[in-house]
Amino acid sequence: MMGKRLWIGLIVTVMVAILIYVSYGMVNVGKKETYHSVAVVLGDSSHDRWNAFKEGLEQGAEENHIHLNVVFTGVLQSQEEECTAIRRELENGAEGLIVQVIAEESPELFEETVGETPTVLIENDMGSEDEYTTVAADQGEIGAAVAQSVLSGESGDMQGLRIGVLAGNQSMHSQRKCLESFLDAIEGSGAEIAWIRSEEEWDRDAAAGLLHEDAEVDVVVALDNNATECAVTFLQENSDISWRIYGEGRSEKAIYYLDKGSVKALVVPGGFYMGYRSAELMARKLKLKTSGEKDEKAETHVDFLTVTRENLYDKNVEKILYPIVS
Amino acid sequence: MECHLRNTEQGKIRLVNKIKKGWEKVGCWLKRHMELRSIQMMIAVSFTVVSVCIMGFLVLTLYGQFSRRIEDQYVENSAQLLNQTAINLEGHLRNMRWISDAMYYSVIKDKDLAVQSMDDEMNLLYEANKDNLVSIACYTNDGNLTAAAPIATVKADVDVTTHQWFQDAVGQLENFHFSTPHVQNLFDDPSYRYYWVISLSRTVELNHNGETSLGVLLVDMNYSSIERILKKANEDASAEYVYLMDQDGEIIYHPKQDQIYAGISSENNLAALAYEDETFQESFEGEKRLVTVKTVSYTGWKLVSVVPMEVYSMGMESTRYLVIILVILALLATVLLNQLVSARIAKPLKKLNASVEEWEAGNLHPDIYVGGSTEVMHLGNTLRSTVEQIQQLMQDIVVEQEEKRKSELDALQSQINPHFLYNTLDSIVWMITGEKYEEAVFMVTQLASLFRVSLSQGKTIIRIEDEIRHAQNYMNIQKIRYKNVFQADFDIEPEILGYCTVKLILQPLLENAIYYGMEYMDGEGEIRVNGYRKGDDIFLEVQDNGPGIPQEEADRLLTEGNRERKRGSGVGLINVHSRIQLRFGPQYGLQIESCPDEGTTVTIHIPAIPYSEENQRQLEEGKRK
Repeated sequence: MMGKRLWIGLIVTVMVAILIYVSYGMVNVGKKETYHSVAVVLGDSSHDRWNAFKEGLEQGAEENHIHLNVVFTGVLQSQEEECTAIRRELENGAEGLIVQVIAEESPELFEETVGETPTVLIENDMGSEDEYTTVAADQGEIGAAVAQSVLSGESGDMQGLRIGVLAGNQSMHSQRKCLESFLDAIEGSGAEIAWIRSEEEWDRDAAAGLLHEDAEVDVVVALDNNATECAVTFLQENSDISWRIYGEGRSEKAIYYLDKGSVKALVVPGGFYMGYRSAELMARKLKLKTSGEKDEKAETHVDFLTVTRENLYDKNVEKILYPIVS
Repeated sequence: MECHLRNTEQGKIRLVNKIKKGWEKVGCWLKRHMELRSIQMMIAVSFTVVSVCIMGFLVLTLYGQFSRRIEDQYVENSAQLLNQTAINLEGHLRNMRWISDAMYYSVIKDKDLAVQSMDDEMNLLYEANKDNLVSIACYTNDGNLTAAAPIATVKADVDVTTHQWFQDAVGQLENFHFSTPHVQNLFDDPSYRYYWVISLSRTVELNHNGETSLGVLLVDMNYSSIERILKKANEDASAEYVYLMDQDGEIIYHPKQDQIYAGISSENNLAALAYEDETFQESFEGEKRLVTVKTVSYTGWKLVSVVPMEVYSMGMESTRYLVIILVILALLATVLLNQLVSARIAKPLKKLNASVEEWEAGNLHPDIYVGGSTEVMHLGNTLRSTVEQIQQLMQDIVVEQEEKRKSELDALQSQINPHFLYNTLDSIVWMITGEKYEEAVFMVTQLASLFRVSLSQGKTIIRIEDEIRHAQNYMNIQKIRYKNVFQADFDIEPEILGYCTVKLILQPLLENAIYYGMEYMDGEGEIRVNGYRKGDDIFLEVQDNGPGIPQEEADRLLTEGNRERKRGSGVGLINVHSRIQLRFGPQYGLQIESCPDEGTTVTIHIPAIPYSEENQRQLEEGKRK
C-alpha cells in the first residue's frame, strides 16, 4: 500500500514539476530580449565617412539586441576630450563602448575611464600590449596597398618620382605602422619621398601658409581619410598644382574626387563589415559579462579594396562603396 | 579467422545473456515495486494506460492538424503578402512605363529636335514625378545627350553607350528594359551625392528635320521607391521576409542586402530563380524554409517570400506549451480520478476480502461487510447469509453434540452400580432373615429415598438439599453394609440448600472415598462432607482420611486419558467433572487434593444459583452458564 502510494506520489510530483517548468516556459514565450545600451564614440561622428560603418553597426545592433547611442562629436582634439565623452556616456548608463581611439597620449587615462566596461575598438588599436577587442583594417596592409596603387597608377615608372606623404595622425601607432609599411613597399622603386607630414604638421603648416613650398611633388600619398580630403581640398584650391593623389578613405568627398579624376586610387576599408562585426562582438562581450565570464581579446581584420576611376562603377565595387543607406 | 569468428559468436551470446539478465532484473524490480495484483492497482493502471493512449492519440492528431492549419495559414499569408507587394510593385513600374510612354509618345514623337526642345515637357514630367524619379534623359544612338531633367552637368568622359541600360535598349528595340539597382553615373553632383537607381530604358525615334534616327530614352527611377514598397512587406519583425530579384537571379532588394554585399549573409536566390510561381520547401544553410515565388509582370523580376520553418515552431511555441500543460493537467486528473474510481470500486471488495480473511483466520463470528456497488453488496449479503447459515449449522451441531454427551453422561450417571444394588438387597435379605426388621426397614427406606432423588422426575438439576439427602441415604446404606467401619459427617451450611446443583455428583465421590479410602480402616475411617458458600460460588467437599495418593496422580484423575474404571459406581470422577462443566462452564468442576497417608479431599465447585423453576429449566436447556 505504501509502495503504491509512493509511486502515485512520485508520478504526481513529476507531473507537477513538468507543469511548473512548462508554465514557466509559457510565461516566457514572446518575452522580448533584453536590450543593452551601447555608446559609440567616433571622432567627427557626423562625417559621412562613417555612413557605411553606422549602417553596419545599426544592422548588427538590431540583430543582436543592442540599443546604440552614437555620440555626437566634432573633431576630437585629444584623448582627454574623448575620455570625457566616454565618461559622460557611462554615467548615462552605457553598458558597452564602441570607440574609435583618436590618440594614444595617455592609455592609462583611457583604461581608467573604460574600466571593466565591455569595449570594442574600431579602426585603431591601442598597441600590442592592450587587451581590447579590435575591429580594424590591418594598417600595415593598407599602407602596402596604397604603395601598390601608386606603383600601378604610375605604371611602374617611378624613377625620379617625387612623393609627398600625408601620414595622418602619427600619434597613433597604427598610423605609424601604415606609414612604415608604405615606405617599405615604395622603397627601392626609384621614387623619392620628398616630405612626410603628420596631420598635426599639415594643419600647422597650412595655417602658416607653408604648404606651397612642398607643392613640388608629383604624387601625394594620403594615409587616412582626412589626409585624402586635405590633399584634394588643397589641390582644388590651387589650380597651379598638379598632384596625383593616392590615398586611403571612404568619404563621399574622397570618392567624388576619385570619380572626378583628382584622386587616382583609393584604398577603401569595408566600413559596413566593421560596423556589423563590432556590434556582434559587443553583443558577445555583454552576454559573457552577464554570465560572469571574461571575454578574450579578439582582433578582427576588415577587408579593403583598391578603387580606381576605372572600376568605380563595377557592380561589386559600388555595392561596397555606396552603401544603400535607408 | 575461425578463432575470431568464434570469439565474435561468444561475444554475441554473452551480450544476449546480459540483456536477458538485465530484462529479468527490470522485471523483478517492477514486480517488486509495482504490485499489479491488487484490483485497485489493476483498475487504476488499466484506466490510466487507456486514457493516456487515447489522450496521446487525440493530442497528436489535433496538434498535427493544428500545425498543418498554421502552416497553410502562413503559406496563404505569404501568398497574400506577395500578391499585394507584386500589385504595388507592378503599379509603381506601370507608372514608370507610363512616364516613359508619355515622354515618348506625347513629347519626343511630336518634336523636331532640329528646331524644337523637349526640355520643358521633360522638366514638367520630372517635376510631377520627382518623388520616384532621379532623372529623365534622352540620348542619341551614339550616346550624346539630347535632353535631361533635372538639368545637370554631364560627367566628363562618361560614355553611355558602354552602360548596360543603353546596350539593353539598343539590343532589343521594342521593349522596355529595367536594369538592376546601380549607382547613377551620368551627371555631376558637386554635393558629392550619389543615387541608387533602377534604369528604365527604351529605344525611341528622334526626328531631326523630318529624318528619324534612333535614340534611347532613360528614366532613372529612384531605388528608394522600390525599397519603400518592399520594406513595407518586410515590416513584420518575424524571421519571415520578402526579397526581389531580376530575371537573372541578381538581387534587386533584400532586407539584408548590405550584409549580402559585405559577405556576411547569403541568399538562395539562384535556386529560387528556377522555381515556378508556387510554394516550395527548401533547405538552405541547414535551415528548412518555405519559399513562395511570384513573378512580377513585364519585368520578369521575381518576388520571393521566405518563411523559415523556425517561424512556425516559434509561433507554435505557446500552443505547444499550452498543449503540454493541458495534457499534464488531464493526466493528473486522470491519475487522481482513476485512483478515486478504482479506490471506490476496490474498497468494498477489499473490505469484503478482509471479512473473509478474518473468517479464515478463525473468527467464527466475522462482521461480514455489506456495501459498495450492487454486485459487491449482493456478494456481501450472500456471504453473510452463508456465514450465518454455517454458524447456525455449527451451533446446531455443537448443541446436538452437547446434548448427546449430556444424555450419555446423564444416562451413565443414572446407572446404579448393580453390585451396590445387589449387595444392598443382599444385606436387606440377611437382615430380614436375621429378624432385624427395623434395620431392614431403615435400609429399604434409605434405598427408596436414594432412588427417588436419583430419578427426580427426570431432572438433571436439583436442589443441593436433595443432593445432600441422596448422599446421606447412600452413606447410611453403605455404613450398614460396611458395619460402621467409618464415620460419615455432613457439615452443610443451611443457606446453600436452596441452590442448584447437578444431581448425583456427591455419590460418586463418596463411593470413591469408601472404596479407596475406608475399606481397610477398621473403624477409624472418617468421611466428611462439607458444604459452604464463598462469594458467588458454592463448594462441596468430600474429605476422607484414607491412604491418599500422590498429588500428581490426583491431578491425572481429572484428565480424560486417565479415566479408569476399577470399582465403585463405575462413573468416575471425570464424569462428574465433565457434567459440572457442561452445565456451569469450564471454570467450574472438581478439584482433588491428596497426600499419601493423610487422606484425600475432593471439592465440588459450582456457581451459586438459587433454585427456581426458571433457573432449573434454563440450566437443563443449557441456556444459562
